[in-house]
Order: sequence, then C-alpha cells, then structure tokens
Amino acid sequence: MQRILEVKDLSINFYLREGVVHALTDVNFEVFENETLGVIGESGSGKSVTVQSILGILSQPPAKIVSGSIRFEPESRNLELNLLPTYGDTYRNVRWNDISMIFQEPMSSFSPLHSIGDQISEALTLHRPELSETDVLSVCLGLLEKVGIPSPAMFFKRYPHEFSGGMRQRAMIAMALVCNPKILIADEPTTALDVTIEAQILELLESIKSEFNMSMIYISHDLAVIGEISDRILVMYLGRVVESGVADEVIDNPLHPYTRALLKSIPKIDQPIESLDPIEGSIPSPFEVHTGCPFYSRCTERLGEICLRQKPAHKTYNNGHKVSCHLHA
Amino acid sequence: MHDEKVILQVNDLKKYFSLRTGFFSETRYIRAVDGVSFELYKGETLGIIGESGCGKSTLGRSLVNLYNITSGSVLYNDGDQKINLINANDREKKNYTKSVQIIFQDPFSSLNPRINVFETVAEPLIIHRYPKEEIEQKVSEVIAQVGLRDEHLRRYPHSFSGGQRQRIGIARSLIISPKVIICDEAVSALDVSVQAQIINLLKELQARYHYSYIFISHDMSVIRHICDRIAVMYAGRIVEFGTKEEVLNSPKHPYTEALLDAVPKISNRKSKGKRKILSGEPPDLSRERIGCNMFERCGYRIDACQATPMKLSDVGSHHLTACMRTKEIQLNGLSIEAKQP
Amino acid sequence: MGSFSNSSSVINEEDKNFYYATQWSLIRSRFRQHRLASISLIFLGLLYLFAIFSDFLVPYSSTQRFSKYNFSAPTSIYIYDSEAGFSSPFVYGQKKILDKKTFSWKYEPDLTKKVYIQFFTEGEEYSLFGIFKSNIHLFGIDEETPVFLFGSDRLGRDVFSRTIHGSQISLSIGLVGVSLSFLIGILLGGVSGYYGGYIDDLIQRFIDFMISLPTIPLWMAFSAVLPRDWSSLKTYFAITIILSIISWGPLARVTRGKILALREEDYTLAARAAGASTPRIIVKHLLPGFSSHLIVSITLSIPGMILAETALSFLGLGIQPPAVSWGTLLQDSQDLMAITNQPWLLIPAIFVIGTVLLFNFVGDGLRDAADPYS
Repeated sequence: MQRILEVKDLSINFYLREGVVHALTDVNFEVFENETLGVIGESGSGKSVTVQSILGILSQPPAKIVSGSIRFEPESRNLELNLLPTYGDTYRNVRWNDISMIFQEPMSSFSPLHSIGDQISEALTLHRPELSETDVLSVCLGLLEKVGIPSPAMFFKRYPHEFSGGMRQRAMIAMALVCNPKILIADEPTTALDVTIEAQILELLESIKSEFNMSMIYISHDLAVIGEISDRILVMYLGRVVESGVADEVIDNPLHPYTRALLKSIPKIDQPIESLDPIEGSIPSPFEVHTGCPFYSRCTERLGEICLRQKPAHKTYNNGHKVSCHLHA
Repeated sequence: MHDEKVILQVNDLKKYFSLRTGFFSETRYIRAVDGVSFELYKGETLGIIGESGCGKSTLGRSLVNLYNITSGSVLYNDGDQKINLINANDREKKNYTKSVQIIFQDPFSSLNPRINVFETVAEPLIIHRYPKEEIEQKVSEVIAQVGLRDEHLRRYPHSFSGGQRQRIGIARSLIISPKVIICDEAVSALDVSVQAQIINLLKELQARYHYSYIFISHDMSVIRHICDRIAVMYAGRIVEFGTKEEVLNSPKHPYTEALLDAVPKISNRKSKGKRKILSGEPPDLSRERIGCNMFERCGYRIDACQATPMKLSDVGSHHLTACMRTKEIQLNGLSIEAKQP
Repeated sequence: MGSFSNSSSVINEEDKNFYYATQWSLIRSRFRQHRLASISLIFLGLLYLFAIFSDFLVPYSSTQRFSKYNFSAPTSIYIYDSEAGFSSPFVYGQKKILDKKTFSWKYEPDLTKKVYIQFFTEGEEYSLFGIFKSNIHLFGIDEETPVFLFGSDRLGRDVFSRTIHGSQISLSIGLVGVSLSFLIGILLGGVSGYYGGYIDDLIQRFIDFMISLPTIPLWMAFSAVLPRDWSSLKTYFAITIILSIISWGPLARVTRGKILALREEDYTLAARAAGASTPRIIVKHLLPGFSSHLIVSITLSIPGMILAETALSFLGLGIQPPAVSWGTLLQDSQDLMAITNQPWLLIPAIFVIGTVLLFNFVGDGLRDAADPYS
C-alpha cells in the first residue's frame, strides 16, 4: 500500500499566559491509501491538534510546531505541509482539494447567512474556477443525493438552521467531497448526534470512502465507534501516540496498559456484563510536564523509576503493531 | 435485586411546554412527555433510554418537581410516608424533595463556581435547616463516601477535574439521605476513562444504601450495565418496558430493535452494511397525532399503525410494548457471543 | 476509590492558593495581569481623588474672576532664570498689549516681575466634604499675578481650577446616574428574567419603547420642565435622574439575559431540586452569578453617562452656571473663534476623552477577568 500522509516526530506546544502546554510530543504515524485510520483519545490527548496541524488550521500563535514534519504523498509529490505558509496558495489548494474535513458541530461549520447549496457550490467554484455554473450545480446536486439527502434540489436553497443535526452533517460531508479529496478527516462527526443518526452517518462515511477512493482519518473518544470503522487504530494519551496497529490487533491484543485499561473500563454492549475496571485518577493537567511516561500516575502495570524518569521508546512488532511502553522494551 | 415494594408510582404523566414565538402569535404546545406510566421498585435501577428530545430529561426533572406537571400523578411511598406530588402541601413537598434527588449530567454547570465544595454539598441540609454540627458531620461522611477527602471541602469547583466534580454533585444529592435518585445522564459528559469510576461508585452506593435509581441515558451500553429494568422512550412516550434481559435480548418494539442495532459495537468490526438502519428523524412534538409516533421511520408499518392510538400492552412476563404489530413481526435483539474479552 | 492518590499527594503553595481561591480573588488576579486595565484603574482612581480634594488642589474657586486677565493663555512656569540660576518654580507677571494688526489683546511675560509659586499657601476659604473648613491650597500665588495652568476664560477665571472643580460633577454623575439606572435595570430586568411570560414581554416591549425614543429631544423636553430657579444641587440630581431614566434599558436587558441563562444552570436547578426557596436561589446563586458581569456592564456604561451629561451641559440643557462641569466648560468653546484663538478652552475635552477611554480600558480588563472559565 502507498503511504499518502506521513507525520514524523511532530511536537506542538501551546504558549499560553498560564504556561506552556505540550500538546503533541513526538507524534509518528502514517496514513495509507484507501484506509481508515481511527484516532482514539480522551480530552487533552491531542487528537484534534494533530488533524488541525495537518490541515494548517492551528492558530499560531499560541500554537507552535516545535519539531517534526508532515508530508503529503511522500512517495510522489512529497509536499512538506509543515513548511508551507498556512495562508499560501499551495496550502489552500491542499486543503479541500487533497485533504478535507468534517467537524463535530455542523451548525457552526456552516454560515447561517447563506443557503447550504450556495456554500457547497462556493467551495467547489473556489477550487475549480474552470467549471461552468450548470456543471457546479449538477455536481453539487449529485453529491447531495449521494450523501442521502432526500430531494436535493429543494434542499439546495435552504438555510442551515432549517435542518436537523443529521441532515447538516450530511451536507457537511457533501461539502467536504466537492473536490474529490484524497483524505477525509472526520473530527468526532457523530458525537453530537443520536445513536440512530450516528449509525446512518457511519454507514454513509463507509460507503463514500470506498466510492471516492479516499483515505479517512476518523477521530473519536468512543472506542466502539473507532473499533467499528477503522482499519488501523492510533491510541493517543496526553499528546503522545502510545499504541498503533491494525484494528483487530489493537482491540483483541492491546499492548499498552492504557489501551488495556480503556478496554476494560468501558461498558460494552456486545459482551457479557462484568464489573467495570475503571482507570483510577483523572487525566493530568495539560500544564504538567512528564519526563517519563505520561500514563505513569494512573498505570497499574508500571515498573517503577524507569517509567517515571525515562521516555519509553517505540517498539514495533513485525505485524506493524507499535507500542511505546517500558513493558515492551 | 429488589423487593416488590413500589416506591414511586407514576401514572399518565404529561408535561407540555407552551411555545410562543411572538407577542401576537398563538400558543403551541411541545408534548415533551405525553402520558408516561411506570412504577419504580425499592432498590432497583430503572433505565430510561432514548434519543435527544424524547422527553427523558423532562421526565426526570418533572419527577424532582423542577417542572410543574401538566397532568398525571406521581405517588411516593416508602412505607413510612405516602406523598402525592401533585396535590402535596408545602410540608409534604419538602419531604418529597428530601426523598427524591437528582444528579445532573454536566459536572461543569452543575456546581456553582462561586461556592466552595463544603457549601455546595451542605446546601440541601442548610435549606432544610439542619443544626450546624450535624451538617459538618454529614458533609464529611458523604464526601468520604464519594471518594473525596475532607481537605477538598474548602476548595472551589475550578480546581477539580470532571470526574471529581461529578463526585461532588453526587455527594450533594446523597447528603439528605434520599431514597430515590434520578441520574440524568450522570456519566455522559465524562471522559471514557472516568465513566467507569462513576458507574462503579453509583453501584457501590446502591449496594450499601439501597437507593432506587432512575438512570436516564442515551447510551445503551451504560444502561445495559447498570439497570435492572429498562424503559425505552420515543417522542415523549414509553414504547417498550421490561426487564433488561427481555428488552435487550428479545425486543418487542421496532424502535428498540433499531436502537440496539445502531449502537456501535467493538466486536462488530468489518461487519458494516448489515445493519437495519432507522431512516429519518424523530417527529415534531408540537403536532398532535393519533397513531404510532414512529410511523414515518418504521420498517414494519402498515396503514393501521397510523390510525390506532398508541397503548402499552403486556406481551407476557411484565414485558410491555406499544407496537400493535408486535405479535406479527420478528425482531432481533442483542446476540451476545459467549466470548470473553 | 483513591482517585487522588497520585496527582495531588504533593501540593505546592502556589497550587494551594489556586485551589482555595474564591471567584473574586481569581478575578482580581486575572485583572492584575491585564496591564492596560490596571494602569487605567490607577489613573481613574487619581482622577476621582482629584475630584474629591479639588478645593485643596487648585488655587482658585470656580467663580473667582481676574477681570484684568480674560482669555489669558496658560501660564508658563519656570525653574531657571539666567540671573539667579535654578530656583523653586516661579512665574513672570503678565503685560497686556494690544496687537496692532488684529486689534486684539495679547499677554506677554513681564520679565521684570518674578513671582514665586508658594505651596500649602492660604487662599480662599472652602469646606472639604462640607465639614472641614480650611483655606490651605496646594499651591498659589498670593499676589496680583494669577497662575493659570490651563489659561483663563472669557471672564478671567482659571480653566485649571474650573476643570478640576467640574470633574466633581462630571465624574460623580456617571457613578450616581449609573447606580440609579442600575437599580431600575436590575429590578425590572430581574423580574423580567425570573418570572418570564407576559411580565417579561411587557417589560421588554417597554424597554424597546424607551430605547426607540430619540434621546436629545427627550433630554430637551425633560430639561425644559426643570424650573430655572432650582439650586444647582437640585438641578444636578434632576439631571442625574433624567439620564438614568433614559439609560436603564440596556442594563435591564443584560440583567434579564444573564438571569435567564443562570436560571437554567444545573446548579440553580440542583438548588431548586433540593427545595431551596426563590429568595435563597436569587441571593445565593443568581446574584453572585451575574454580579461580576454587571460590574463590567456598569463600568462600560459610566462613560456613556459622562458623555451624556457633557452633551447636555454643552447644549446648555444640563448643569446650569454657576455650577461647573466639563460640559458647561466646553460650552465656552462652542464657536470657531474660541477654538482658533483660545485653544486651551478645549482642555476639559481632553479630560472627557481621557476619562471615557480609561473607563473603557478598565471595563475591558474586567470583562476578560470576570469569566475565568471562558
């Protein structure tokens, strides 16, 4: 499989009045063509910062990329996104043409002042100025139909507030697809939705992904959703990738104590009821500096001094299952 | 798990909200809760599941007297006292308040940022004019029960994480020794790694003090984990009601089936596209309707569904369903493989 | 359930202060970090101090006339003299000469007449706060030669003294007026927000009506009603009341909005679920909840009040002479002649602009500080 995106040793700090937040520390991962990479993490894990830095939509300052690189299509075009000026033309073309994104709250991603159709066609005309007006219209209507919006022509002239969350999310997906992107980033797209609607959207994402030959980065805090949709999974904790690998591997044979604990702590609908094993304590404050493993304070399998003092190295098993923990040194 | 004593009896409870869009426009009603009846047994956990806007939170808040009920009745009976919430006098209302408490969803908005933990937790006692020494003693007891320490009492909410704040909220609900606790999405806003702590805490407290819980949630996995009986709500009404095993393993209402099917399952990897997805969206609650409220979305509908009034009927072993076609259709529940994680 | 076993076993002093900090101390510390606002607050404090001790600070009363020195430019103060070298501050006397080209009077320093400025000198008698009688002024010259730091006006009155005296009315009318409109606003806004329904509709439409009234004609109508023979104190209060009657609307709106939001906060619901009475909820949860926001909106509406008084008085509708405010002072600079020939008459305007800016900076800082969780 061809790699389409490669993130290497990415570290991002936020310089705030209250102090420095190490939002990302040495984040490494890649996305292959036509795969879904699920990124799981709780609040403060840095999952949203990661995708924002890929799209170049981080507010800098306060954020600053301290080190590392983000390469798009490393084998062919090899665009180093982190070196491009975020407001430049090249980046603007990458955004939406090559990488597009859908957000958690579709209401705030649409302007309330323009009809949904206008906003979708604007996205298209901006990136494909050569298209004629009728072409634009037909492409948009086709997309709206594809994302399962009943009677797209009527929908086209309506405003965002006239629709339910599910419908808006569908429209958002249509808008993200206008330029046939190679990567679709979905940042908790179903968190604000009800389960039945969530199932609709997951199904939709799955089908358009194969239809458009895209790769997808799917971010969520919900392990079950991630488990369902991903080919590979990236587990993040406090700005670090603690484990990554093929979905079946990570879920059936988790290597990092955090992943293990997470799996044991969530109630699962499809397994016999047993008592939950919660992860003790709470997520440390983002301002805290960790010299060793960030999960040290809550880890039940910690080894002692070494975990507290020394940063665990990445260990790769031959099936591509990576883990960063002293247990696997 | 529970003895057969009914502690809370809810009959045909309705809560309508009037909706005025302007000074001169006519008043419309949102039928948030439209005729809900159930009984809560002593010591049990009754789960109420439904999607946003189905009226489950309105129901919970009506039960703690935060809303004036439009019609129906709520009877509380713990053996020592019987209170009818609807025509209770002030003294009875106070006693009802002491017996039925609520835990809120959002650990951030449920604590007043200007009041320290001690005052927050002690507030119900202060309101009910307990003597000072007793307040101090009780606060320190209850704060230990929820896993916090005395030294936390003088701190302000901003210095706590979400999970700790939820513990404080729980302490506030417990301090007045209620018998019934309504958990309104009590774990939904918490980080996944913290959810289990709170679920376990609630279970431990129940085992020790025999609270009766009404656990309101949109999360089927959490409901399945904590509840004895489950009521499924849709568009202001209960559409299915029964023991956990009955409802989850052999659902009798198409909505329950769809809900179970829609829940993301961790072992469901790569089995996509096989689901019965419920299309469409919940109905407009301001419109009066005669028939089934899920008519437009239901895959099993026939014309008669639209005309026949909704009614819960028993299909055996206290398993109630509002679907009139329940005998004619075959619905799938959870099929849990005997696989151990 | 030892959920704190790791993270908080060692609490350092700084954390402890943060943990135990009340809402107000958090606001204070955030405000202090806002440099512009803190500095502005200090300057505002100084302005108010000046206003309070104006009688002591300035050499003359607001009505003292030096008929020989009308339209005198600001007096220069010297500390160096080619003959005597450095000395304590002094001024030169002034000679009045007729400019032959323009046929207007001009003043020139009379280098032969050197008068030293005296500090803590005796001057006209005044009473501080109406109680302490004194005649000591910070500085003054007890001779024929007057000192006009900001020049003098048409009648030969010291603009500096009058500006500082005028700040008493101008600065206090903001505070008094805002607290009055605050009272009306908080009451009606509170009722409107807490009870909702038809009462809410009624009050809101009334506010709409009040806001839609054109202000200047309304002011004129009100001031026309004021009897001319009222004492300046009476007029002052009447003007204040007029201003606050017109300006309570927005404050009531803020109060209502905030109450509506706080009423639905889970912690308010929790208190209600625990059986708290309405007064308890208002006092314990609602009032503290929006007091910080109210302080912000009050701070931001004081400048409006000051400007309104200035405008009224400038138009001759507000404070009536002999009482002085910045507005009445600016009345003297209404014509182009004054601005070209006596630009110092505009100095009170600098005070108005400065004060308004200071209040806005402070309000900005307060707004940022008021919500530590936003």
